[in-house]
Amino acid sequence: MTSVTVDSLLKGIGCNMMAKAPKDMFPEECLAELSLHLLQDPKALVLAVGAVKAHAPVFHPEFLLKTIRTHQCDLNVIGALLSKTQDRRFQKVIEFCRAQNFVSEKPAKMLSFALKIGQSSADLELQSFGVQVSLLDAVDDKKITKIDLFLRGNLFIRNRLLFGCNWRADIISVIDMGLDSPTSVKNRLGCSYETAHRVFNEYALVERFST
Amino acid sequence: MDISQAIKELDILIKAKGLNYVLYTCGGAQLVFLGYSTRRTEDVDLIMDQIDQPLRDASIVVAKKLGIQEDWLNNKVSSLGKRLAKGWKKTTVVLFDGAAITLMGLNRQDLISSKLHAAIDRKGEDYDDLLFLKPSVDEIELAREYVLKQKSDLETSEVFINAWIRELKNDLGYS
Repeated sequence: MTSVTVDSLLKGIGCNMMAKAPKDMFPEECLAELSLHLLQDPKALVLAVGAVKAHAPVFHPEFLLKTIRTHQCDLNVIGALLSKTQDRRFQKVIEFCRAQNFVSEKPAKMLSFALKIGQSSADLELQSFGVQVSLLDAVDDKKITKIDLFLRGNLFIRNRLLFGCNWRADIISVIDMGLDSPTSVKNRLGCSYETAHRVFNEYALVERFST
Repeated sequence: MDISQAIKELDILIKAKGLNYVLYTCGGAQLVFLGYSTRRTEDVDLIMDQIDQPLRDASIVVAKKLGIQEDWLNNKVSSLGKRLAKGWKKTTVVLFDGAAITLMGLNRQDLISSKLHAAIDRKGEDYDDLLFLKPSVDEIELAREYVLKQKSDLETSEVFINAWIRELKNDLGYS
């Protein structure tokens, strides 16, 4: 993967990168893909930690769980990043990550150099997932997208702020993106058919009465 | 969006106001202008004590037009100016020369010194920037002296500084 794509994925989780966020990817999907690169890229790791902590309220735990079950990702990185948010909504996801006993790729040398020479302690959250890296400094908040800018042009974030971080918001997003049946919604998101069917019909009802 | 685009937009607005500025930047923004293209964030750090109102207002107009953060032009690294050697501005290099904005960057040695300081202080986060700059042995030695002078800021002992420098030299193939 090129660095441009990593920058793009970072943009997709709410970092102020000079890149376009990946089209039609939810922040959870960006995080899953990004997780495979973070232990090789100190700057990206620091940015990702900052973004996940700042934007935890607009991450959808159930969708994240579905995503990491079906996508290739580094479960230790995701579990550790979610632990840093101290948001109890992610407890199930963290437990899932921990239970998989995933083996991460060895971190880049520079991520653990300060720890190796005794300049720094270890990052406790990553350590609890078996990954030894130095305790990194918090990212400057100017590098994290403020929520008003994050939601601009991002349908997923906009709908989650309107309807809450739940399947309803995400189903409405994918219908707005053009999915035209409960089955396609279910296949895209991984929610139950019943939920997709119910929200799909309610949306159609509202559409009928507002035209 | 590329920050060079934001600077060009800013230049147009400042010219329209009949003003002109010489601005000094460093760090990531300078590396973007030098062609280093990884982990590019949308902000420009200015080494100046205060951003005056006309410049601030113009930067906000640019932010709104390009859909970027309003604080993309900021002076959060203003203290760097006090840490660099006296007269550092006289040795800066031109990164952008517009009709109303001239954007200057640190000279190579000051850039290497400040990056080494940041790499040690932030435990390796900026280390790849140093590898991109490929400092010579002499430049590393001058940067080491600079970092040692910042010790009161760093809470980092000489032992750690030397360990980082050994590693850097090793990675650059000097040892």
